[in-house]
Amino acid sequence: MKNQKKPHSDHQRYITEGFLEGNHERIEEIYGKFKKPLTSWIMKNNGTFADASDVFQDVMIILTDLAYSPKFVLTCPMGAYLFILFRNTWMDRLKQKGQELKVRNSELERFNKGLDTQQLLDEAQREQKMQQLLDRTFGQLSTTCQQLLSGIKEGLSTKALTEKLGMSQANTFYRRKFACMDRWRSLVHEDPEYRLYLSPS
Amino acid sequence: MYMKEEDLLLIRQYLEDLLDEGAREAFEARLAEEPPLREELELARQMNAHLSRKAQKEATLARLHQLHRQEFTEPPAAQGPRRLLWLGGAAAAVAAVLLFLLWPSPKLYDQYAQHSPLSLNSKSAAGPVDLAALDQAFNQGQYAKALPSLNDLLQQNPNDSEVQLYRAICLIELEQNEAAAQALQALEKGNSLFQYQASWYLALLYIRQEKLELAMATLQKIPPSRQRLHAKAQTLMVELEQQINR
Repeated sequence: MKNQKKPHSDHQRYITEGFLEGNHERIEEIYGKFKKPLTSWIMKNNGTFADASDVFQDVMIILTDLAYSPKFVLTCPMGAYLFILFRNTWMDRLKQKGQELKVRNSELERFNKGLDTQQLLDEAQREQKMQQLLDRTFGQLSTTCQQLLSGIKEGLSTKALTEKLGMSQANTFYRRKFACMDRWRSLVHEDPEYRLYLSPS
Repeated sequence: MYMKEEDLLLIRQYLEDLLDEGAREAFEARLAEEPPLREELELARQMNAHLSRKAQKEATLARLHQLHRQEFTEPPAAQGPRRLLWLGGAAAAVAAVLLFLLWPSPKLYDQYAQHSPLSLNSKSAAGPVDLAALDQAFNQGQYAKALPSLNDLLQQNPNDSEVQLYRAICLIELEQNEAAAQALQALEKGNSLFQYQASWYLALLYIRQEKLELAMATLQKIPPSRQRLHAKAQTLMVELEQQINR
């Protein structure tokens, strides 16, 4: 059942420490190390500084979604991974604008030696969609359910939550908790994206 | 619905490590043979992880938002070649800024006023109030229709803080600003689970009324211990600060 993929040493540094443990200096480090080469690459490939900013932001949001997915493992250096996401995002944008992509390939070769780029992109897209689905369906729960489930995970005691939610007994609290989880589960199952997640084409 | 109740219970017990060795082995043997059970276990794992990491993720996104603004402020060198363009478009820019200053807040209000769906139907017996109809009215944005039922519910139970909050949201949406502010201020002073949700909505109300500094002060009341709401408030405060400084 366990994920067999071997994490690159950057996984611990950026994903675990930076995102999961909330050491935001690691995220600042991502900007410090990779902003300049990635911005420069876009500006050499039909883009502006503003384009680079937009694409960088999109990529960091994708990376955040991935980092908080329990299945995500960074199997290559962070620079290479960012470059794959960055290039793909920029290609999508150019396609939307109906422009041909005339990218300079020297950077691509330098960053992506030996990597199965398409597989990495497919996995990233799949996991990101699942995270978005969980976000979306959680947001469809009632406020009470959201408060209750978040409260439990934030470490609020059963007693405190029972009182604050105006529930008369701990029994009601547990019934409500399971009902909320069950409702959330049903919302996930009802979402067409979930079928696609289970059976990617 | 999609899985037997007893299997859902087994999954829960498996994840919480509550099964004895025999039951655990039997469950794992079934996992190897039953893809639907495996999928359901995987989903339960994803949901648990999502919940555990949600607050941290929102705090990270708020930090990213700030960091990105700092890092991608246009450098002076890049502004040079565009100078003529800027000058050429000056009249249009001034007009755009004026337009923005005249109507900054409703846009921000609309962006942030995303209400969680109301779901009172399963909460309790409610006497004459049709809770399913009330949920439906609110969730479809029919606030004028939802408000009388929320008032009735409050008459039955004046201390129901969830009903108080949704009543206040209806009042905001119906632009009954004074009544909305009173309701939210009362909820904010209490000690209910919705205390800081009330601060959040009070800030949104102030934003729509263009009382931006008051909105800032109200958002600052949301403590870091309310991680998700705090992260949202921090992000909104960055945007408010920019509008105030313009």
